[in-house]
Amino acid sequence: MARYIAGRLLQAVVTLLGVVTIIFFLVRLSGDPARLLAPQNATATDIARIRHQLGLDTSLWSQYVHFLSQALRGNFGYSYVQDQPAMHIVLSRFPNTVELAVGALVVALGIGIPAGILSAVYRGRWPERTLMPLILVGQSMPAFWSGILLILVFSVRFHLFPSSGQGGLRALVLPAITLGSLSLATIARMARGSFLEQLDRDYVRTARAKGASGMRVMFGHVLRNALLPVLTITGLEAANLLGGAVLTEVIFAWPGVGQLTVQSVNSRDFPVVQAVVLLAAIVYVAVNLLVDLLYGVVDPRLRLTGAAP
Amino acid sequence: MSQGVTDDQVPAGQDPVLAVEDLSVCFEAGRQLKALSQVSVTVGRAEIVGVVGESGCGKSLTALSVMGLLPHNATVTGGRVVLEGVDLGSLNGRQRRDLRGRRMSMVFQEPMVALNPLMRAGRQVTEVLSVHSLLSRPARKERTLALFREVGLADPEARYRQYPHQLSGGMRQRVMIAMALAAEPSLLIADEPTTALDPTVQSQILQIFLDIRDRLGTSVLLVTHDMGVIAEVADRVTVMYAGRVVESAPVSEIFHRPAHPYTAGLLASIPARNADRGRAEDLPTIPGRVPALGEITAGCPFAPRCERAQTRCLQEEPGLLAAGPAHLAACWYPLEQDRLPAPARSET
Repeated sequence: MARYIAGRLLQAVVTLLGVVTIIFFLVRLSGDPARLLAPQNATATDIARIRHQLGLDTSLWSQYVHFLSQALRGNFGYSYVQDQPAMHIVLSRFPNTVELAVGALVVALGIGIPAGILSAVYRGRWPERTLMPLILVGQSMPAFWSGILLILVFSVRFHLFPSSGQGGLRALVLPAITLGSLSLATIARMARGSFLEQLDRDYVRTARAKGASGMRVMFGHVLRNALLPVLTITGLEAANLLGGAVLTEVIFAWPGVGQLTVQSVNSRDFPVVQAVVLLAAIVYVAVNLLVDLLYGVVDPRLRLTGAAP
Repeated sequence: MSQGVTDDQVPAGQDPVLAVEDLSVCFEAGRQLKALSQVSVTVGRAEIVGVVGESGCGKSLTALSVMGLLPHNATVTGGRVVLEGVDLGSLNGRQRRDLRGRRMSMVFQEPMVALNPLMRAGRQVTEVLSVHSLLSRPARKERTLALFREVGLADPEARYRQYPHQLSGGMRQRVMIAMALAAEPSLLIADEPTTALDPTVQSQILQIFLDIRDRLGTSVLLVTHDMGVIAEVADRVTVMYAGRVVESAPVSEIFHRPAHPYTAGLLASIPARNADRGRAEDLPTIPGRVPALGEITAGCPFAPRCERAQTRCLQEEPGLLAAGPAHLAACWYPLEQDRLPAPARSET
């Protein structure tokens, strides 16, 4: 087990190095930050001076080596725009993104799993025929549209929830629904497919042959087996959500990492963009590792052989 | 070998534990496909009745009908199933569920997939007791450990905590049997219980069925395609073909005086019986194949494969007719005494 985790951590380091390298060169294709930072009537020498201050006048290669050696010491540079360490800015936004991601996951799992189960159990009957199209509609609507629609109805018309900003559970409801409805569809579909598959398994017939009630068969036997694939997809969704939800955060003026990403890309704030991407990658890798370890907890066949899922 | 009830009688003077009477089952697949046609089987107390036939003859479907576990697209269209005097068709879902696992239970063919992979072996057995008894948790465990010992599981404490994938095929089937016996049912249905096991384990498992029959008086309906298994444990045999019962008789009658040409064909194709004939290629086979559902037309369904078939066989379907004491066969031209195959079972 320890060997397995060590292997995965080594893999993670390679992944992170790759991500950091790609983003380093990618942001530098976006243009010259000095031109944005300089005042309107700045001369070429002013811009050159800013460029020198930011360390952008050396060769790309030496900038990269400098960036890596600093990053290894935990120093991800200063924001060009705010006078603060880039990683510090990103981390200060991160709890807000976590809050939104958790809210979205609660919506996605809380509605998606029961909807998936109902659609599987009542296959071809009215629960499936109402739920699945509804979910499809939710998934098909882009966040910028469904978000605005929700604001119009629930904030503007009925004044039930605030239309923007963060603070308290009430403020979380609309952004969580907007963001969660996308994952909801994926999770509901996966749960439905997985339940349908499990319901045909022989052990279900065995459980019924014991005289177990329908509820007992569902919750005592099928649920755990059927949730294995749902766990995988939930991990992927969670990892995505934690990376910051750009559209939803912008629509609801949610001060999370997604909003920060847009702002720092627009202002060519390279260190912040790099820090955002690095953090998202770390979270992604960590959540996936966690899910794989959880798999072993849920499924004894993977746990005791020690094999990687 | 083992004969709990003397060969020449259906247990008389007492009601059978199980009576399947003229049971018909149809599959819904665009049109109605008749899968079982007026099947009748009885199992007396402490009797082991074998149901034998090729794949697709309806033997497993008969077993599932008794349990009330037919697949969704199958429905009972006629006849009835009576368990200890109770017509199961007259019960509602809840009453019927209450009988499952308690009065009748079932052992399936492939224990690897028939057990829940994520549940410890012990809990799969104690669950039966949670459903059907008022035993406390420690008492349920105690009872399960005792059951494990009864079915010959070594180190029951360890087995109790293990998951199905950690057990061998034979152990898994023993767990299945322990589960089926947990609530001391009157009827145990076993659907190809030894098919997935290797031969040494197979006879050990069959021995358990004989044990529980003798010790607990449990009746067993044993579904198999293997005449060898029948010879080893069954008291009476029902032979099925194309969703019908074609012959029914005490086991020694079947082996010594088969009346239906299909039964004779099945017996002739048992390898052990023909060991003295030498090479395996010499094994006789029944020509042709089992008709598919919906393919059956008028006349005897076996007629196209039968070397004795006459015009009548192709026009008129034979019902079950007496072919000897407690011996029924659905054949217009049953095998006569002079055409008997040589006895192969050594009776001592």
